[in-house]
Amino acid sequence: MQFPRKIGGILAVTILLVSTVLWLIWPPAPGAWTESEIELLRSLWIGSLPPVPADPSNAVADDPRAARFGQRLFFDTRLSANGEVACATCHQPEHLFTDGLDVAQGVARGERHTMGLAGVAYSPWMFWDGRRDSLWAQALAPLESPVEHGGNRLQFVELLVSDAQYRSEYAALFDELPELPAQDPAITEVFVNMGKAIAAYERLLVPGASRFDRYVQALLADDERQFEAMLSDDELAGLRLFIGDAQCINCHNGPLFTNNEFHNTAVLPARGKLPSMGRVAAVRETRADPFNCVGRFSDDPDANCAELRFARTGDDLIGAHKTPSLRNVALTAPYMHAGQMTSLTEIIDQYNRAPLAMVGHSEAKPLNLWRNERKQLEAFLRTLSGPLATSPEWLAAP
Amino acid sequence: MLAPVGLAQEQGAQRTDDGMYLISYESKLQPITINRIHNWVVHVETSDGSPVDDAMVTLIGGMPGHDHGLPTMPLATQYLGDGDYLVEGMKFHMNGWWQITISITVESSYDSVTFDLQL
Repeated sequence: MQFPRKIGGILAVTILLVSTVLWLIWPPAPGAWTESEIELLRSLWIGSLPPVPADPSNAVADDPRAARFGQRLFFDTRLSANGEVACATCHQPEHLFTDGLDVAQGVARGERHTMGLAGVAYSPWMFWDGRRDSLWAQALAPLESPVEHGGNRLQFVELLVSDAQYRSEYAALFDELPELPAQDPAITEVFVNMGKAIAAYERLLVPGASRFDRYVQALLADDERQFEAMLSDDELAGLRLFIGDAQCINCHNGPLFTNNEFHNTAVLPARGKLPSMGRVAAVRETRADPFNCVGRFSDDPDANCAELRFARTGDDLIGAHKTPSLRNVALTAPYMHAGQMTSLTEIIDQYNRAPLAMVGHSEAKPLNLWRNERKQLEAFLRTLSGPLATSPEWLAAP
Repeated sequence: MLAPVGLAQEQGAQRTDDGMYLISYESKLQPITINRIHNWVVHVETSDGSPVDDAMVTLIGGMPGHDHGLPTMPLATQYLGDGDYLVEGMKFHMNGWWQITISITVESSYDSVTFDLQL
């Protein structure tokens, strides 16, 4: 039987119209996830964060006395050339261990934006270019940097020797401080132990649950009333973009929203500055660092040191910088390695356009998101704020 | 670029491009998880099934969709016997489609094979 063509046409148009109207009235539920999407959400959830990984190169890494000693050092401005700069000068606990500035201001103006410290102990590499391979090796570098603390290890040992509390805390953990005047290696041993104590303190700084995490927790527990109230439709749509079309999760993966690796995404250098070479220049420096994992100051001569031994450099790492954690991203502006971006809107625009890199090759491809999608993505990023899971006694000077 | 459909996380042995060897690998980290450095054992045998014990095994990898390589430079550090080579320093830092090329050099002969891997 021949179906009349006219009726067929009218039927097709009607079906199209009805389904469009239905889609407009009842769009797919923003919070309806497939099983594989739920697994992705679980992978980002704070509940998936394992304990802080062991650091066999630091024998006092998990000693609470070392953390207390390290906390005292962290907040002590006497550890500087002008008596005014402590670790906490830039890593301010009230600002989630950042400083709100574009680049760090120590005894002079630095080159790099201050990174937050929550979850830092999970990273195999420190600094924006990963030029140190442990938390304690990292802690030593700013102390002697001429633009950060501007001090030197002899000055620091003199301070410890002159302070009765430091003397007893140090002796309880390591050995008696050397009699002064002393020479190397005794001075450097003390300096290294200071770094290990600061690292023990920093290992306690871990992120806590955000609204996003409470949403995932309710979702996994199948608590519909809870999770439906937790995120708005726009935030949920932003989350869907984050794990899907916007591809953010490629690098901002895992419960810390970072893979702690290095990527070139064509972020422009700070105004008037040459582009940073980033990761490609840092691997050699780490291998030459006397405080690295295979060096004589490591507490475990049999440590595997796989990250350092198999560290790679190559052209694709020109201009590559570390993926920062996105936890508390809305509260820790400005952004990028030189603080050259001031808002989340600006960052999302950058990834949406994906311009060519000034040096090296950008991994980012244009996303072509609509304006409302970019707003949804930003709304989602704002759900990642939450206080640290660290006891308040550690979040101020002792 | 899209990954080939239906990739298993690990596949069986694959013949090298010029057909000289049959190569398989086993990850010592199960399942393969991103952001964790780990080891593989690469097994090399000739097409008639005899283990190859004097090969230089090299491994490179990357993500064709993202124009970057592995975050590490894995190395075959030890011959374990029976055609098995220990490869240390494997690490993946993104989910998605990866390609791993394993090359075998024995004296002056060279052959290689590329495995697709979906994480």
